[in-house]
Amino acid sequence: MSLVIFTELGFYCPQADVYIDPMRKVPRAIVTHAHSDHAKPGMGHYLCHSHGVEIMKLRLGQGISVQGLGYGEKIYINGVEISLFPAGHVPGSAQVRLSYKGETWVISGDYKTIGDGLTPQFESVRCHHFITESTFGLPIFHWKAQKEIFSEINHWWQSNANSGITSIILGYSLGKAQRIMKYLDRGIGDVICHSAIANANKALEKSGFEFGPWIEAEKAVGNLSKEALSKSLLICPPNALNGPLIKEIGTHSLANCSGWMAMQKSQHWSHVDQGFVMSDHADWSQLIEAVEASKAERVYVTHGFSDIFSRYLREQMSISAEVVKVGHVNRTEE
Amino acid sequence: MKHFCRLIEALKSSNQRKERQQIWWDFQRDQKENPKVLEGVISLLKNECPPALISSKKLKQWALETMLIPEWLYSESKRFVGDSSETLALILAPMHSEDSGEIALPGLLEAMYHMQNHDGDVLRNWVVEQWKNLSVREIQVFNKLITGGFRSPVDPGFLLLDEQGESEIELTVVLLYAERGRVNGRNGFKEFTMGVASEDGWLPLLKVAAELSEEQSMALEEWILGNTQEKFGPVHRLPAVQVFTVLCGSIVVNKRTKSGVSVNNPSIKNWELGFTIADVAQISTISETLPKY
Repeated sequence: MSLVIFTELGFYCPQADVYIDPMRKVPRAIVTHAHSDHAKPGMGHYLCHSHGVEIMKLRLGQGISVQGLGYGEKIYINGVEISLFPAGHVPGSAQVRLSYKGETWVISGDYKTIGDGLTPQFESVRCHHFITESTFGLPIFHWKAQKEIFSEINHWWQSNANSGITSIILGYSLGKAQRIMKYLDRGIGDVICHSAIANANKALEKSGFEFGPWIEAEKAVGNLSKEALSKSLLICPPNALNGPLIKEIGTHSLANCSGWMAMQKSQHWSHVDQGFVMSDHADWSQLIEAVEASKAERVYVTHGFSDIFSRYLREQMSISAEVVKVGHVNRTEE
Repeated sequence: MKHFCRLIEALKSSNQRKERQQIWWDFQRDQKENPKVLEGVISLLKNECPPALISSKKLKQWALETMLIPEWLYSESKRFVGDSSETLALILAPMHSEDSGEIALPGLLEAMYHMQNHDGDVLRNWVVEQWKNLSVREIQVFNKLITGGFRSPVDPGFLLLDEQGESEIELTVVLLYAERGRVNGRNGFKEFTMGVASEDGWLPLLKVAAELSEEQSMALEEWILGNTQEKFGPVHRLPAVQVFTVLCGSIVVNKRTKSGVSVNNPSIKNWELGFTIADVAQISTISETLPKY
């Protein structure tokens, strides 16, 4: 039997009796990262990277049974060597390496190969079988250098501050928000975080991450002077857009930070004033780079444009590749 | 090219006449030290472009060969993006790097005239060299320029506008569609499609920014939400009930539109609560008044 099989519940290693990112309750789960489409509640026991432990507890409950593992550290279950390697996606994210009797599998989870200065950079791991995501698996997706993106963001913030308009950026509460915070120009004004982001910040700060000073939204609104508020930048998750907080802020300019912003129609449909193309997923060239670096004999493509990316690998790169669907149906957090 | 592309994007992104005018005046002010840039921009905005250098089919072939992208992958990408020029520009984007140079518009237009005498490898090498120095949005405009596909986002009168800044033509129209979006930092209805009467029923004639008083906006929003017949994404289809008068700069024949005319720089004058749909203009009457040329 194969070391890893694809089931409705998720990727499963029968020899170790463990699932990776399972969709429903199982006794033992290895979780690549704490985004809600990968880390589901109700597992008997969780294994994740040690940087992700606090955030897993925050999202799934303080009472969960969770074990943290360092990058490269090995544990053995029924003879299967299990280790985690940096995925570079968000703090605490990891690729899962499983090895047994000379056969090695790597399950990438979500990843990006470029370093973002916040999360340990993606490390390619040689394997026989590589499972890759393909959220942005079309050649239209190409990310600019991080320095360039933050220069655009800070320029936009400064220009709003000069006009006395509060800046609001939409970004997922785990990963995207902290990456943005780390490179904001604090000389312009205060950085305010929505409560969902504030909670993630606190959990990550406990795990040793730093992303500069910030104020919790509840404390900022009402306490900051009108002038200070108009120069500040608020980060909030996309689902908070219609909440009371935005109404309290008043006149503002709204921006979204997402890989989908590469397309004009996405900017138009998301009803934002400004779109910044920034993602914590690999773009087209990073996906190819990761697949090539794995030297895998067989590649399995999941999440996103899996049909197209696997066809490209087969036809243009002569790599044995196929689509796998294991039931991740929720919209991917970036 | 950078400034020109920003101008085009800004003009396209606004449907408010006054705002578009301001964008154009700001651009003129910023570029007053660069008369050649201004001259080039004005000629392009008047649709006075250099002749096309290459067909769009050939351009696509060169782009895909340069980026090693097979035709099927381009088709899949286009299916997702929805627009062929944007798809090609996004595919070419990795050619641009941080240390790429900047292409000045006057030099580019001059080079385009010079390139009229070339084809084959010379032209291809020149095109590829330009791509390397252009951002995604610049590539999109550049590709349209060299394939003859560039269309000015403004009408000729716009460049003159007009000190009064007043529109002269008044039309009575009926609200047919309303598009939801961000209005003054909140969700609301940002654009209306207005129609006129025709023998076959109501005919969409123009899109106009939803510029109403706060009180009117709220009242109309409530009516729209209670009377929406169908939704297409953010667009609400509505029964022909609410009548408006709009002011516009000009009406010209345009066979590419359903109504056969295009209305330039419309703005809402009044929400005519006392009017009925019997007051709405007829397309035949509008067409008859247009000059025949």
